[in-house]
Amino acid sequence: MTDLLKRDLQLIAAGVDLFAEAAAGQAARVTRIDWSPPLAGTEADLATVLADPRRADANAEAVRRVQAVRALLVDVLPAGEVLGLGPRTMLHAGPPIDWVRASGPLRGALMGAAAFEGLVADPQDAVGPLERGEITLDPCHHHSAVGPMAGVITRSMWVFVLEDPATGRRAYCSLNEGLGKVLRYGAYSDDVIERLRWMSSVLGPILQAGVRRNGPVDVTAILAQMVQMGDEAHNRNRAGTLMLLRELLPAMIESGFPASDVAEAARFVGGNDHFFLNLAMPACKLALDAARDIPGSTMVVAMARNGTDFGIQVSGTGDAWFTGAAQVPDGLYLGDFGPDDANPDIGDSAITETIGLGGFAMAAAPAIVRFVGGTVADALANTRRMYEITLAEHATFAVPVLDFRGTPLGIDVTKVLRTGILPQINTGMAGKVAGTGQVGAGLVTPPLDIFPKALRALAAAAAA
Amino acid sequence: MWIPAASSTALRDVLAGPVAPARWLGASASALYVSVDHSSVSAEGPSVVAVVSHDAVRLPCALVLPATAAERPLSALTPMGSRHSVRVGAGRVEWDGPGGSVTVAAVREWRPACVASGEPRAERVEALRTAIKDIGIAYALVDTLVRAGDSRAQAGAVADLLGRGPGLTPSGDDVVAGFLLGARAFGRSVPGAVRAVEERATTATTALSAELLRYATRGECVPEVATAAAAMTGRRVADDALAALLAVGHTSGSALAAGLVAAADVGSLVAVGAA
Amino acid sequence: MTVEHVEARAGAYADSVTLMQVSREVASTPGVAAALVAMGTELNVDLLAGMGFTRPPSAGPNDLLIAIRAHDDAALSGALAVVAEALAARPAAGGSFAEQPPRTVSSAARVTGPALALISVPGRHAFTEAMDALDAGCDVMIFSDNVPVEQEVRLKDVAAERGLLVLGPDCGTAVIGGVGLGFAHTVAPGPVGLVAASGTGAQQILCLLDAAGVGVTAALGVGGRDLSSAVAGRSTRAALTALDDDPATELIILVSKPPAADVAADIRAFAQTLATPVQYALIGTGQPDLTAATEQALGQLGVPVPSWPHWPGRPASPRTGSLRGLFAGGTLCDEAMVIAAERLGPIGSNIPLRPEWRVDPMTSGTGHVMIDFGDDELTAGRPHPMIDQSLRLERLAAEARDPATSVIVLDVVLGHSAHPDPAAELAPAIEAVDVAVVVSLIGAKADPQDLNRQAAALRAAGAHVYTSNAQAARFAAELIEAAP
Repeated sequence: MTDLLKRDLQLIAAGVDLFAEAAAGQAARVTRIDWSPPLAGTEADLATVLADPRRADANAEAVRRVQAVRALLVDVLPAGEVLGLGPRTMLHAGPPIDWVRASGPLRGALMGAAAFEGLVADPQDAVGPLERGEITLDPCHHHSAVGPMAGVITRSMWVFVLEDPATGRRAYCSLNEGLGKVLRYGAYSDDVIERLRWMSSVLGPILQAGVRRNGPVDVTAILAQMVQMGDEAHNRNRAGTLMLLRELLPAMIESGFPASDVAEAARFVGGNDHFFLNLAMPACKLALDAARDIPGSTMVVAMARNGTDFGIQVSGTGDAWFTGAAQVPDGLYLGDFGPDDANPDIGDSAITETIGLGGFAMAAAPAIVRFVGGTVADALANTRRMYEITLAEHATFAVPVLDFRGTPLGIDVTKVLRTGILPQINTGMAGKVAGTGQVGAGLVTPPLDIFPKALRALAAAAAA
Repeated sequence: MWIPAASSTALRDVLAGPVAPARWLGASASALYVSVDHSSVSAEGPSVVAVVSHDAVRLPCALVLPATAAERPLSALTPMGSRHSVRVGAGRVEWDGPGGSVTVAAVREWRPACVASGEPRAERVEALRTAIKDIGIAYALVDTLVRAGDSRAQAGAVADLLGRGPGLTPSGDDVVAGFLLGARAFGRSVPGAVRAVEERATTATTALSAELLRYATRGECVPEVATAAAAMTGRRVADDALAALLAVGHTSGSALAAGLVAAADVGSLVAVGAA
Repeated sequence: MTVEHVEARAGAYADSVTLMQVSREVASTPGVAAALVAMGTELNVDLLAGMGFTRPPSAGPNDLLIAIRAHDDAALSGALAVVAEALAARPAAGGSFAEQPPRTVSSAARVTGPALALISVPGRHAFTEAMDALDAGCDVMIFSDNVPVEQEVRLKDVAAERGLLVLGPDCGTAVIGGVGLGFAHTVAPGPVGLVAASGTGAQQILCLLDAAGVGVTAALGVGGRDLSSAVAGRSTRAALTALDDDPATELIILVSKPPAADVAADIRAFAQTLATPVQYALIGTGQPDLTAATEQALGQLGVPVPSWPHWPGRPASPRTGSLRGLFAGGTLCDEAMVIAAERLGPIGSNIPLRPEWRVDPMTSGTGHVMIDFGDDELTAGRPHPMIDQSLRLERLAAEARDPATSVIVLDVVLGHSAHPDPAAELAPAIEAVDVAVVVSLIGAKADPQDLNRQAAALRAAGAHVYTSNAQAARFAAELIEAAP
């Protein structure tokens, strides 16, 4: 039975202001909704999906599962070993794509990776085999993995292995190369390839020894702490990187590797503010994968871009990708690069926003709002706006400036369409010409048209 | 500034009269207290009108505002000091605030909580007794009230409590109010206590506290007391009700609870001289 | 010709974001061809070299690199000034820290806790908003009409599962916690609880109780279709249960148009199981009218029935002819038709008592006619006649010009959300006609329009004013019967 008559009257008004006004005039507490109609053409599908009897429980379960996951860094291994990648398979960021439609930075990274794997002597020689489909491309997401920017992972690259101890499920991500001219931004010059070789021959084994000697590193716990230290875990990972180094460094030193190698590894990790990104991402992936395939759930479980397409996956619609054209981020450029140099949005790193970090947690990282010439007030407004399209608030990731309110958790397809508010993503920008590298950083959103597609599929599943 | 408010039905007569001067009793962020001397229109003495925030304790003599204390701190609206006038009547409380005139208008009514009758359940009385924390005064005074063997002793014990403790509603008065409300709820006859309140409250304690004691003799109280009393008699689940009472004010909740428990402990007395 | 400036400035740390902004600002200064302002990391020194600048001889990562290529010395010194200014400036605290209003009921409810959601969005969106509110643990009142019945049933089933209440759709009236919601009145707390499948029916009873000095615990409008076979009294049961559980409610009045027979039987059986007595006010032939039902309720409460206020108008000797009713309230129209039909025979209407009595509401009919101007068909695309009287005023003049018209009866509903001063428009219109006009004035003492002032103005214009719609209808019928 309702307790409407037992509690103090509290009103929330959506629609005609006359009624809210009349109630307020009678000393009632009224919260007014800034209501606007949903995206035109989605009314019928919204009604069908909202009427789905499974939805409310399914979404509650999705939110519960995400938060139940604890991501531990348990090992560091070559991708070939843990992902079973053959010599002619390359993983990439975003939804599936072929060479013909691949953008410059993805092509550059694939070419560089071919040279790195020794398939060709010169990256330019890889164009032929890639064009002819002699190298298989597959999304990282289809292999429990994620990769930032181009996200190219090949067998000889080392990956972090994250595991949820309760279920034994795992997620993987490559090691972060640093900023500037790096493979993930599409650069493939000799120094890029050389750095990758050093990472596989020195950095990977030292990190492996460190993790094995130290024992598992609780990445979820570091995420919770870093959000309170000014990181949003996408474009700012400074605190997270230092906490990781603090935890692993003693074991790395004791690993028996030459002191000069350990020092170089420590210098490399400590000197790269983004090193932890490649742990934040698989931690988010591991948590969100727990919420996949719940019939009736309207929660987004992946947002990913391949430089051409922006794709989302939704819990209630299985492995289907809903894709549209990736947008060019709006932000600031390095050196004399400008908007004409930027490639459309790329990378699996939007997995951080999918769980409610990154752009969703801007209020926790005011230092980065000026990427868009914004203010701290903008950061607060960004995070508050994301509460409008999410299902819950994270129990562990708390935003100090919002009185430790939990970060916005679980993007709800129906709320995106009802409010017209798009998920806010903080991202790096790659040069659109293969081989360029990073040209800037900024803010971007998914294309609006992918959400009605997802809704249509949810409606079809609900009606069935 | 015009602020709509919901008025207790108990204030209907006070507010309905013509606009008349009144006196400030106190102000906090969540409540303003005004004493209205309407002896010209009523035989009763002065009465108290409270203007309270939405999240404040709902006194039975309150005009309740839609805003919380955080949203609209009431003390900021009032120039304190006897020099500044406040007026009550024609359905309004109005004064000249720091930022211009302020009018709190009664635009609708609410009915204050009232204790319902029933026999208290022993286990719930014990549950409340053990949960009582600091009541702000010596508990021995409550014991004396419970042990009073006749109406005169009871009146004496109440007299010892009236006005005892600091603040606008002294703890001793809270105990007495809880006792009167408990007696009404549990069907205990407590003529000594009623007489002591009638005779002494006006002079022995603050105007606000005396007013709340008068409400208590009629069974009218803050909702937390009515709900806790109902929980003690098994009319509703006890889960949150007792805890909610104890959470009222600093020590008020515990003092009111001590009064309720004391009322459950006493038998009915026959009024001395009344026979 | 170009000039170049490359400098590694020690001890001038600034974060990368600030520097990216400074670079952009300098690069856009007139006369500047290229610029880089960045910390002297290896990456940035490479970037500098890549832009064609000379590498500074000694630059460490803690030095600030300032590299500018300009067309001439003037442009260069201008650019350096911009750098100095930009590095000195700290952005003013801009923007607003205030929270923006919430965009959905569920996001608002996260802050407020359990609430009553008032949904008055267009009907095709109402289901989505209402379901969102139920998801957030809120009870819901839906003013919106044109909500498909299967959506109504779904909402009410979900509400039942979760222990919530759905008022409406097409629920115009409620009083909760003393607050009048929608088209409603502020009335005092009292012993009566109302459950209403009829908005204006509930308003009539609330106002009559108010005149008798009796208040309410709550009035819960359940929507006009709730007692249909399709909806089967889902919200009526929930509302009855809530009122029965409320210790302050001594008597429940259930007001509705005649319910579907099977539903009525079920509801009566259900009401038998309640501890609180239920008084029925079901408008229809052979049923007590709303006034009579209210009087029965007062009898049950032991409250004397007052003489319902009325203000007699111009002594009338109306010409022979027909009765014309112009109503804003559907239930009031229904009630008037039932009363008039008993005395006068068939009454044409857009909401006829019998299907064969249907007439086109937009053309003056023949014989006795009563039109409900609040019917969905007549409110599409325009405000409700309780808010905007223009359609009724036009019709009043037209009916009066019709020589076949003898008496006009109409309702004036006061209260929250209604027209702020209906008599100001209506009185001159009544004054201008020479047929008898009978008004049922539905208002409570505390209504913002001032019941007595409205009545006085209408009476001064010559109208016969009743607070009981049944009495108004009866008087109008008597005038017709008494006409020569």
